[in-house]
Amino acid sequence: MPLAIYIARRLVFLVVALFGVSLITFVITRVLPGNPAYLIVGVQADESTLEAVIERLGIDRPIMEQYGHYMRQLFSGDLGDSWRTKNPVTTDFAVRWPATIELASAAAILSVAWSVPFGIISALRRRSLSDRLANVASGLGVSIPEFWLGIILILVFFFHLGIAPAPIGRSLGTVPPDVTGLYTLDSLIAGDWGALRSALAQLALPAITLAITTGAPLLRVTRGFMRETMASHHIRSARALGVPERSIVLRHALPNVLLPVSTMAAMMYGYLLGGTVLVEFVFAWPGIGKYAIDSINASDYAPVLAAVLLSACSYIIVYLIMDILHFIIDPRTRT
Amino acid sequence: MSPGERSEVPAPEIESKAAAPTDVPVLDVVDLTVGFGSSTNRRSIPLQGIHLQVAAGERMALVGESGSGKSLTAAAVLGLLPDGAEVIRGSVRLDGEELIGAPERRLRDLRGRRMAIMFQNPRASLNPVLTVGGQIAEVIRVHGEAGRKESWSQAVDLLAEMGIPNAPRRAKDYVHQYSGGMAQRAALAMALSCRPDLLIADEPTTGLDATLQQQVLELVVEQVDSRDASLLLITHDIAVARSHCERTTVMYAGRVMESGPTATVTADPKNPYTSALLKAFGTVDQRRMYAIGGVVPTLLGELGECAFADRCPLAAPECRDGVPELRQLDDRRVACVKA
Amino acid sequence: MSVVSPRASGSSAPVGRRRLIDSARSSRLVVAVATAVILVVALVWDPDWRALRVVVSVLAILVAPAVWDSQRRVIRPAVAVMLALILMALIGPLFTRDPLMLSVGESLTGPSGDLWFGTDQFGRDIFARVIHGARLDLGVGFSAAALAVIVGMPLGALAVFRGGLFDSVLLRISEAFQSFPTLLLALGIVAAVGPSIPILIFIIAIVNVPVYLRLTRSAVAPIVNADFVLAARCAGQRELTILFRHILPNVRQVVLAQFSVNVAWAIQILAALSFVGLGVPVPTPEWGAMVREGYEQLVYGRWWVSVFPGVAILTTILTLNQLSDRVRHGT
Repeated sequence: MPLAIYIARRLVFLVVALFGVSLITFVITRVLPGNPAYLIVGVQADESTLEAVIERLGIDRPIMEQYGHYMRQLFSGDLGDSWRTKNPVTTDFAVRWPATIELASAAAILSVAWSVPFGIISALRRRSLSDRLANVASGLGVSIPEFWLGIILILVFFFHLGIAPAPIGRSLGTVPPDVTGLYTLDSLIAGDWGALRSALAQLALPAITLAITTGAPLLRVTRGFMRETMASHHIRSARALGVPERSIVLRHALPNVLLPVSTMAAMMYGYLLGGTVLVEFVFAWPGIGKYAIDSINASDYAPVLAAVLLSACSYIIVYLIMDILHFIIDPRTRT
Repeated sequence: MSPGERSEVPAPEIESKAAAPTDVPVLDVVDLTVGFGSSTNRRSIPLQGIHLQVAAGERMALVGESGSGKSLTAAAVLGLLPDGAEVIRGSVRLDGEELIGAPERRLRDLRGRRMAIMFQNPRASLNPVLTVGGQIAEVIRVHGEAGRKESWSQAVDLLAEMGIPNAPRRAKDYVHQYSGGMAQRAALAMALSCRPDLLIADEPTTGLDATLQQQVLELVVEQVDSRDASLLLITHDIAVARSHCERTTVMYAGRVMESGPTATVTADPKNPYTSALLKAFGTVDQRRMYAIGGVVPTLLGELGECAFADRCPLAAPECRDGVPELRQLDDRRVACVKA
Repeated sequence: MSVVSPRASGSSAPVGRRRLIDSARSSRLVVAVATAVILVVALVWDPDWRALRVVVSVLAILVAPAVWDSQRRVIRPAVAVMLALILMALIGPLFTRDPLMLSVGESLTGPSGDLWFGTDQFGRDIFARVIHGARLDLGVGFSAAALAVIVGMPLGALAVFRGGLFDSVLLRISEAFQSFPTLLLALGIVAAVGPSIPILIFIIAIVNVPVYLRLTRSAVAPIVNADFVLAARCAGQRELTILFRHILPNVRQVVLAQFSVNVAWAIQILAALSFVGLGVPVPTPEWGAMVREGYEQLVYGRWWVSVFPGVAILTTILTLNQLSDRVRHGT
């Protein structure tokens, strides 16, 4: 199948998926019990604003008409306003998303960096030390609640050892001039080493927390695929014809493993980009996740809904990009 | 070489074989016994004293039901036993060189260069993400036969030789773009890429269309002959052995039952198991399918009796007295007290 | 539920001894887990402890063989710990202090021989709260996962069975659902509807239905045209009978393994929701909420308030995951 047709087909899927996502968020607000007007403006709002919102949302109108209205709003990029911050939600997002992107990217890099090599090495020898270690690491990593892990890391590295900075957001010192919104990159661009150190130090614990919990399933999957591949017929053939073990692992087995593992990693990154709610909350990281929680606790509903929508979209889009990349890389899709 | 011209079968004793260096068989397997589990906790002994000799330029068929230990024998020869299996005793010599206990480096060097194998299910035995030509070229390269460029052109030549049309282009293709028959041709090219002395073909036609089976087998025989290599053809189909191999070894439950020139073994089987196998694969005039009664015994330990005794139509009390020895009988060897 | 369709075992290759043992084993496990689920759920809604004696004795009889691996002559640790946890949830609260009892004089004392896990800022016994929390967390976890199975599994099987538009619509919906991060979706719904325990169970179940739907769908698809199903059809059996008697029993191992994981997820989601303040109402002893309370005490070095409930969550989830691995590998 030519690439263009494939991409076109995937884009159709994307539209369908986004449509489904919007439908679900719509159902959550409009169909579930509770007065959505209150959700939009908050319980403290006075009678006149409430009526204005009811009018604007058209809650008294038929459900299909409401959905049409809702979709029109989405298409015009209107995610509603936050009454807590008094800003349009899109404006608030623009300020906070870089923080989430920075944390998600750092976590994803760390996560892949420890889990994939570890998974591959541990799969090569059954019942070896690394195999057992991988068992324990993946078992614990999958099971540990990430908010608690964050707390334990804070307890150990901040309170007891004193080597990590206080868990109070992105930076203690000066904020580098805004270029990308990612403090690490911005301070590199500005050549401000103090700011870079501070940004990295703040990033370390939350990123490690996420890297542990997201790396564990990745480790499992990598190890599983590697074991499966090493037991496959083509590896047996290559061995039987004297191909050295090094080439067996690196040239013959690895590409077969990395293709599915990269899909997993992309899915993981997609989820992280949508807001790492718990970890952002624990480390007071001013990203989308914390924004959502703060809004919920203030009964400010528009940002919550927007965050849910955004996270689903970022997941779908990252997955789509990965899918297309695979189509280009994987020889099996060529005919 | 036709069956009639066969030279004398090597005598069963180990000492006499080492004595004649000029007549060293390419592959010489003596009393090969393989077990699963450790010596203290033996779980099964799937190969029990295998004897197998393949002379230079000879085509030998290894015939038996599934589970008889044919493929495990091949794995033991290559030094690629599955996890948990070990050689308990016996020897495997390739051109007189002992392979049991040889260092892995040496074995790796011999695999692909002096002895090669092709498996059943060719599409699975080629790597899906590497080009077919690249895989063949790699085998040539790792054995130091040629450099990067040279090995590629050799790979293309080999593919062409195996009858793959438009080889220079097809070499760049991946295995999913090959049909089953073409993939098996490519696997043959890969196995023969370093001109090995011995090619082991492990059920090379299983899973191929009936019409292709004949073609592929003929190609294997033709290519092996043109390289003066020996062939060990593993098959469950004694008819395949009859039409393509000068000599046949029949295995059952991890033992050699009978071994000798194909013509005599199939025309006048001395071991009841061989006759049963011949009947099961049916001669044309047979109306009903013949099935051997009973099941293959599980090889939990070394049996103290003939493994076929439970299913044998000729079984007698003396069959249970001990493992029947592989005895010389004219131009063949038979493990049966009744023979 | 524990009976495999006779045609299922009859039509396939000769059933070896080994398979018989396996199927007996897994049906025992099914009975054990099913009983546990029903009883735990019943007990959550039965605060008067009327069912307690029946529950404990029935449970002991039913699950004892699951703990003891008679072939390898070892106790299966995951099963044993899980039972201990369930037992703790069932009868533990009888032996502890009142988890809600305030005691200002004893506020924030560290772990001691008397108060094993110390006290929180209101002087409540953390040990008692952890034990009582087991009841809530396990109860919600099992209930939510059970609800998700009950809805998702037949839907998934039906999707394959009906095929066509029904199947693809259902698949698209569950795909859309699965592109939401579970926690954020749950957050969104809780924020809209408001937290209470039945609603939490319902929400956690809802976000997990697609998992079962797709799992069952992929497990059923290969066997829906198997010979024994065709045979049942030819014999004129009703579609629903075929579904429940012949098809679903064959996917139960996969579903059971997933069920165990799902209870773990459910507990994780509940704890996370409570941690961010959207779960159970305040004084209720719930592990996630306790970790949250302890988080605020961390600044003063009072680690015990959040560490012990966290260990409880970790132990429970770890055990459930191990259990799932065991079921999946048939040991």
